[in-house]
Amino acid sequence: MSPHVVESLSAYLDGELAAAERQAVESHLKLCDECARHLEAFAAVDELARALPLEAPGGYFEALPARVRFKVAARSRRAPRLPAWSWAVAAALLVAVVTPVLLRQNPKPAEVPRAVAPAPASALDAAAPREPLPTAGPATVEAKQRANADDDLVRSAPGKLARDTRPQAPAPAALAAAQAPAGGSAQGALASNEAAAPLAKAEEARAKDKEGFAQEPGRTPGTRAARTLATPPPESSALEGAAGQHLYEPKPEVDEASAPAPALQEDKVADAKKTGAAAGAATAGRRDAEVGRSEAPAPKLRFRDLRAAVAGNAEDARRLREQWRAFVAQAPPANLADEGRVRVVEMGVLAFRLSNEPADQILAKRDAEAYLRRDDAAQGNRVRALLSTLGN
Amino acid sequence: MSLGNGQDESGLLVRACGGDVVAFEEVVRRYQRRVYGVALRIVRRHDVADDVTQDTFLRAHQALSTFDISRPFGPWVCRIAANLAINHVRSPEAREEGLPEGHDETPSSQEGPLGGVLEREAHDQLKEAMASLSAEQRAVFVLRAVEGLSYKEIAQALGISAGTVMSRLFRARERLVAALGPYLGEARKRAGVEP
Repeated sequence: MSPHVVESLSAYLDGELAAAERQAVESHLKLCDECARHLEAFAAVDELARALPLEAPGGYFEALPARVRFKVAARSRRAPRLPAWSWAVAAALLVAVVTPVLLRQNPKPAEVPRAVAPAPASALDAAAPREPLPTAGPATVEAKQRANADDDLVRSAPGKLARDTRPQAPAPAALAAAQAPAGGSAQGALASNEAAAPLAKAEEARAKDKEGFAQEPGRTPGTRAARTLATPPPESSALEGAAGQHLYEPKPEVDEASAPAPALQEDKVADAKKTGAAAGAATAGRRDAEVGRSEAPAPKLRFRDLRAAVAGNAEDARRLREQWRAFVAQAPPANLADEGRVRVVEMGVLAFRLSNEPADQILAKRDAEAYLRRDDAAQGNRVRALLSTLGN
Repeated sequence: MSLGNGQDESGLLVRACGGDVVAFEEVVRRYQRRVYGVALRIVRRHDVADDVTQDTFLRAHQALSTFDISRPFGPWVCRIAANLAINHVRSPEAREEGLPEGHDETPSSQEGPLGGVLEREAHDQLKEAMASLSAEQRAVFVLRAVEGLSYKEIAQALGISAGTVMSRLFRARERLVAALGPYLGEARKRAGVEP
């Protein structure tokens, strides 16, 4: 008979042994009563522990849900949005102070962006046109950029966002400007660009500051950043149009012990420098009057608003479709982003049903197929059902 | 779209994440006993288990935005509870005491592995034996034996290796078996483990 296998019995009971070791234990157990009794004892202890009654005061479980709800509601009223709001106001004040100083100092504003902010030329060019960004058509360049940027944003936070507690205040403030309709004055654009550099540096400093956020596991900068965004244009996402870059990058969570993520967050994300650079690119070409606009509703609030909206005709459905698309482009939390993508498809299908226009059908099919190709698509059945209603 | 339990729960979680506190209250209602059970088995005091349970749901609410709703919520929230419970036990202020007198829930109608008086004695003995374990051993044992988490899940939850989970679990079971020996005969029969 092989040597006793007592030390392997616990793992054997749990089905955690490798195949070879498991077979060895099983062979031994057939011949060894002592080890077999030991295994039974382990199983019995587990059974007893499972049967141990929970002892709690009478009425405890009846009252607990309401007690927790009260605390959740109280905390929501108390604090969470204040920091993001403060960041947006602080950033706006900084820009308001820096802008006139820089304008006085710099006689050639056209040269400033290259010297100060690492904004790519394409960002400035994208900012130059004064007309609003066009509504996405079935095969427009903007639609492609939107799809690519959306995919890029999702790839940077694939389905399960890396844990992140960092705020993204300067980027949101910059994006508050970026969200304004295109066509800001050159001065405003350049001044905004000027402000992007110190904002980026300030953002780096804040990215290192863990105080106040260490106890808030699971928050993503997309969440905080999106809170401070100005209301995105209904037609399309200026975030994508402006730079086509990643404007928010989730960062690793700080507090590991208190809120483990259900899924491993394997992707490591860019640091504040990348966010700052992207923020600089995004601010190019925006009106200075738009900088520091009051922050956009938090993604949770925006989600709720969009969810409550009703489309009475094809035009409403198209507009809601693009609003959902813009919502997703803000890089909200993974589960909301997934729901947002599905809602894009839903509104597209609704638009087609109400209009019977081929363009709506084509776009709805394309959005549905793009969703189904995603690795992080959590509602494939729902989208396939929608796709099946579109016909050929 | 069908309304299976999983999708119903996903809908609740999405609404809760969107700020619907009523939806989150329903989530609490569904998981409160399980979370409380994990907490109580580790901290061994109702008042502390109550704090841990509430903190667990508050933390879960905060972290909902990072939770993948396609995965089961129960193991995730139980891992939060175990971590908070261990943190409490490790804290300088924690005191290891038995449950306060008189705080008994209405007896469950579920039949346990033993009958009647013998069962009550076995439960008391189990509580004492669990008290002799370290908080880390209790956490590993509860998460595996009661909650059914895999070694990998437990390791991730507690920030330890799977090998450490394995060894702590083995030592915990050894100690419990040694303390409960006389009471396990009947329980063994009912557990019905086949080698």
